[in-house]
Formats: sequence, C-alpha cells, structure tokens
Amino acid sequence: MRLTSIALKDILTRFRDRRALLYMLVAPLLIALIMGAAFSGQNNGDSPIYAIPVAVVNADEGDLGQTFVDVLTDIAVDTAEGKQPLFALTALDDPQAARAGVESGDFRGALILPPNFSAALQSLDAPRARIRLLTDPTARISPFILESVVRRIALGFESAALGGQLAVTQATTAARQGPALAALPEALAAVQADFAVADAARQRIRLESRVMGVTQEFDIMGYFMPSMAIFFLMFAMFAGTRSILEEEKQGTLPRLMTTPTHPSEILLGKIGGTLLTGLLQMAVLVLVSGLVFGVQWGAPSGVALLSLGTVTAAAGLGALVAAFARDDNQAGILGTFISLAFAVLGGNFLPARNLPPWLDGLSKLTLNRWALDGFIALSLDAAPLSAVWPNIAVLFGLGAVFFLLALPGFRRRFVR
Amino acid sequence: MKLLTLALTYLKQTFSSRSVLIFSLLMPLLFTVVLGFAMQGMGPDDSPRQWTLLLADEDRSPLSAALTRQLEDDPALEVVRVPDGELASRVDAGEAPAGLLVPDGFGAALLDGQSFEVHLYRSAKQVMDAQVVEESVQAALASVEGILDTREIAAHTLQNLGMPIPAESLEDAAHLWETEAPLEVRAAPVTRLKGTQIPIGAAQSSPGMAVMYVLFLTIGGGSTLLVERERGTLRRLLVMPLHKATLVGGKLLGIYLSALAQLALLILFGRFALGVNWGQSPAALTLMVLAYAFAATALGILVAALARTSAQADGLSTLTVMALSALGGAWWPIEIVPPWMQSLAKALPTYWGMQGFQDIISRGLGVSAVLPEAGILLGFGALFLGIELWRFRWE
Repeated sequence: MRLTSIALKDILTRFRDRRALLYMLVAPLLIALIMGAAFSGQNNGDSPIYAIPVAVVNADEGDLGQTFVDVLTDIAVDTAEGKQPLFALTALDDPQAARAGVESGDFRGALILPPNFSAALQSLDAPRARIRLLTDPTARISPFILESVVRRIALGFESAALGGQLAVTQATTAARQGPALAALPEALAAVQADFAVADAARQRIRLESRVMGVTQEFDIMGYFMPSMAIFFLMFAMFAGTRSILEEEKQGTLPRLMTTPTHPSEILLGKIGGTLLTGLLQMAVLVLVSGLVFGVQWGAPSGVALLSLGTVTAAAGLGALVAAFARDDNQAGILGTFISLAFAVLGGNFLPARNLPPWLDGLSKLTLNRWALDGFIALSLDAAPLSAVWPNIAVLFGLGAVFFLLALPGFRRRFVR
Repeated sequence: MKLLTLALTYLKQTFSSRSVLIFSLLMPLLFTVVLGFAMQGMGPDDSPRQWTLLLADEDRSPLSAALTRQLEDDPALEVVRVPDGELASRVDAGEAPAGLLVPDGFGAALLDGQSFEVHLYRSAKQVMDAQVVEESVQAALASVEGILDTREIAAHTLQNLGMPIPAESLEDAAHLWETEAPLEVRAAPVTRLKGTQIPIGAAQSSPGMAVMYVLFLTIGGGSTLLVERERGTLRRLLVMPLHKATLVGGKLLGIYLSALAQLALLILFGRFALGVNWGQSPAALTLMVLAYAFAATALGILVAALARTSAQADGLSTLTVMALSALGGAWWPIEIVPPWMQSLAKALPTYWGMQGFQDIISRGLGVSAVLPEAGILLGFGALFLGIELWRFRWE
C-alpha cells in the first residue's frame, strides 16, 4: 500500500512538471515530426527528390539542342505532392555564370550543350560533341540523378544518328552500286523521321518498379516516431531513478526511512513509479502520434510488450546508474551521456544499417537498437508479434540483469 | 580589464567542469564518427560512391548480356548476380537498395520488335538509394534500346529499299555504338579542391555536429545567467561598482570564447583524425568560426532571456538545438528535404553555418565566398542581442 502511494506520488510529480512534460511528450513528437517532414517524400515509394535546381546553357548552333532541353523539361516523377517535374531548369547564356551558380549552391548542377551538338548528330564524320555537367560537391544524390537522366536522353538522340550510319554501311555493302543506292538518302530520312515522331511512345523495354516488403502504406514516421520515443524515454527513465538520489540529497529520503516503511518498499515504490511513468509516456506517444500523425505502430500486442520491455530495460539501466553514482549530479551526467551515446549508436538518429561491422557490434549492445529494430519490424514491415519475441526477450533480459546488478549498490546505500 | 577577468573566470569554470568536457567535446566526436559512418564513407576516399544492384538474368541471351555489360560499366553501380529465385527475398532482407529481374524471353521478344517488361524490386528501407539505382537502370536500359533502335532504323531502311537485312546486324549496331557514338557526357563536381579528396560521410557530420553542439554549449552558458539570477549572485554583482553592460559583456565574451575553443577542437579533430578538408582556407575558416560562434552565443543568451527559470532554459535547450540542427541541414544534406523545407532552412543560423563551412570543405572556396554567410550570421547575432537587451530581467 505504501509502495503504491510512493509510486503514485512520483508519477503525479512527473506529469505535473511542465519541463518534464516538454521532454517526455512534446520534444519526441515535435522532433519526429520535423524528421518525418524532411523525409516525407519517401513515403509510399514515391521519388523523394524532385524540382532539382539545374542551370542550362544551350550553346548549340543547330536546333537539336533545344529539343534536348525540352525533353529534359518534360521529365516528371511521382512525388508525395503528386506528379512534379524532376528538374527546375534555369536557362543561362554563359557557362561561367552556370559554374558560379553551382559553386554558390544556387544550383545542384549545370548542363552545358556545346556549339557542335546538332552538327555531331547530323554527321558522324563531324567531331564528337561533349555534353558537360557541373555538379554540386555538397550534394550526394541529385548529381547522380541528373547525370543518368542526361545520359539517357543523349542515347535517344544518338540512336537515330547511328541507325542512319548503319543503314548506309549495310546498304552500301549489299548493293555496291546500282539504282537502289540512289534512293537510300530518301528512304533513310523517312525512317528516321518516323522514329523521331514515335520516339517517346515507342519505349520497348518497360521497367516495372515496385517497393518490396510493404504490406501497408509505407510511412517513414514508422521509423522516426519510435526512434524519438526511445530517445526521450531514456531521459525520463534516468530522471525517474535519479530522483532517489535527489531525495537523499534533500534529506527527504532519510526522513522517509525513519517511518515504519521498509527501505525496500521505498525503493520498489520509486522504481515502480518510474516504470509506470515510462509506460504512460510510451502509451501517450503511441496514441497521440497514431491519432494525430496517423503513424501505424503495428500489432498492438507487439507494441505493448516491446514498450514494456524497453521501459524495463531503460529503468533498469537508470537504477544501475543511481545505485552506483556518487551523487545525483554524477548520475545526471552519466544518464545524459548514456542516453545520447546509446541513441546515436542504436540508430535513433540515422538508421544503423550502413555502420561497419565493429560499430554494428557496438550498436547491438545498446537497448535502443533492440527496441528500435523491434518497433520498425512492427511498423514498417507490419510484422506480427511472433517476429519480435527475440527483441522483447533481450529487453526484459537486460532489464533483469540491470536491476540485479543494481541491488548490491542500493543495499550498501540504504540498508545500514 | 574587468570585462576580461569576468570572461576568463567563466572560461575557466566552464572547461574545468567534467560534464562540459564530456558533452561539448566527447559527445560531438562520437556523433561525428557514428553519423559519418551511418551516412557511408569515412575518411578521404578517391573511389566514387557505389550502390549495389542485385541482378537475376533468367534470359541469358546476347541482349541480356549486353544489358548486364551496360550496368556493370556504370561507375555508380556494383552489380551482384544472384540466382533467379532469390532476388525478391534478398532485396526484402535489405541486402541492397534494389534488384533487377530480367525474365526469360527478353532478348527474343525485343529482337522480334515487341515490347517487354523487366522488373525492379526496390527496398522500402532504402528508398533514397533506390531512386539513384533506378535512374542508373533506366540509363542502361536506354543504352540497350539505343542498340535496338539503331538496328531497326537500318533494317527498316533496307527493307524499304528491297535489300536483305544482314544476319549480324545486332552485333554491327552494338559495335557502331562503341566506336562512333556522336555524344559524350562528362560530369564533374564544381570544386577548387586539388584531387578529389571529398570524404563523404564525415564532410557532412563533422561540420554538422560542430554546428549543433556549439549551440548546446552556448545555451548552457546562457542559462548560467539565470542560475546566478536565481541564487541572487547577479543582484550582488550588480551592486558592485560594475556597469550592467560590463557584467553581461563579460559573460558574453566568456561564452563566446568557450564556443570558439570548442569549435577549434572539433575542427582539429575532423581535420586530423577524420581527414575532413577543413584546412582549405584558414582565413575563410577563421571568419566563419568567428561569425558562427557569435550567432550561437547570442542565441544562447536569447534562450536564457526568453526563459523564466534556468530549469526552463535547460528544458528548452534540447528541443531548440535539435530542431534548429535538423531543420538547418546539420543532420543530413539539405538537398534531400522537400523544396519548402529547403526554403524554411534559410531562416535559420544553422543553415548559414553549414553553407559557409561546406563552401570551405567541399567547394574549396576562400574568404570572398563565405562573406555572405558570415555577414548573415553576424546579422542573426545582432538581432538576437537586440531582443535580449529588450527582454532580459535582471532581478
């Protein structure tokens, strides 16, 4: 009975404290929302990147250069905002201005069509034309997209030119001379014109592209929301267990000890209060993000058990720190340190999949990684509870180990 | 003189505290390394970035071989062949951003003039990388179409002339592409760096974490003003023969110096431990560090001025710093966020800090290039200071 009243008092204190609420509820929701907006283009397998700012310098002395630019302008991709042009083109006259624009970061790239662009396509004896692309070195993705699209369009232009060349060679070999050869230029021009007209529609190899492993609407918030929930849960769990030391410092703990309440009851009450606070925090985050942002957390039983496991492991770690820290100040520093280090290692900021093996190994030592992998399996892969049993088991196991290790520390501290 | 004493006292207090050392130096270093790896590619690296494409060729025809060659020739792709039945499951398992399935009948149908469908499986967990791979696959398919088109134009022409079509026309077309292609595409990054020493992950995370963590330090510094107000030491100091301006100036200078020291250490680590190109233009770097530290210091005191208690300032700090860093492009390259968020970023000092640092690290530019960024940062600093003078309560 006294145990529950201690626990309830702690929960009330926490949920009445505006600063604690900022940490526990507002911050995770807000940061996850920013992250989700940043990556919002990635939902449902849409193209995340569009309207890439590109400068175009068309120095071509013929007409084909403009046709090339027109094709580039018309390229559109499916995005979260509907069909959008892949590039936002700005026509410039001077290659130097284009280079300066890329250098200053105004453009992610610049396309420069040379004066002999049409000439090179119209006669294979003419020198090869060099299309130049200038790209932004601070960008990782857009330059690759620009380059492959430009290459693809260039190929279309080349096909017609090379087809003509092949026809001439083959006809000459077949006929040597004779009346047929005289008709060649006319026949070729007719075929080439036909091809140019039908070009866009006549794509013979179709690429059917589908996103794998998505059984429900894919939502990147299914990664960010659990990430931030775990990150800020850790802070709350450390703060909760640290309150034992704060009471010790403020002298309220020794006063409690003089009452007929057994020290173990006080301890269990404080830890129970922390656990319940964590569960409430997770529950509110899951409900609010689900109702307001529409985040699909996945199988409810899995989410509930994983939350319980994560809360247990985090509170256990908090208890361990509280049991052995010199004072509440040291516990605070250690708690923040662990919260931050575990979060970055456990993939709460950026997915851990690109980590080299040695860092991946370290990552798997954090409770954050086990919790996050479990939540992602439930949300993004829509996995059933059975898929996350190992994660749940590891988290409860960690929690048990932490609490057991914390016991001797608490005993030395409080039972004198 | 008094100003300097106050500043130095603050500096000494700050850096003798173990928690400051942990959170303003050790933690950003850990974040720089881990996030650098998470963004792929640490350390100076001459090899361009590659994406893995899993390939299952069920067709095994000359045409599918031509497609494979085109894919393998793409420097952005690392093609890994997998047995036919395993493709989907291996993409699903997250082994690669995408996998391409070329079904049986590909070559025969295309040579017959029919259209044909190939399948690209993209990973739901690596959508951004999958978009790059898809563009590369499209380019390779376009090459194969180019060969087919060339062959077909010749075939139609010969047909119209009543001539026989040579049996080896596909090989001839492919050969023509290799020797006579009228266009070439050359792409090069616009940078004045010698060599192409652009470390991919750390070039983002090293400036990014410096930009972020200096804010933790300055906001922490600002909230010490509140602590002093709460303890009454501020009032006590104010009755001494010290001008209010001296008092705040000393504090400000102390926070500013500590921010400079932190930035210098983080930059040195990035330069010498991770090989990030911080040393390109020492003059430009100095200017940017001075300007960004000023904006950060002013922001730190602004948070203090707007908070009522030090506890409130602490609570606000994590939220403020994380939001500013994420929105300003300190966590990931700003190019990947939607256009409206790229515009929003321009209203934040973190964005201009990142731009200025990137001018130096990745673009290899000097003082004149970072003048606009430095100017904007100084403007932010002045604005923040103005608001503080207007809002801060002394007692």
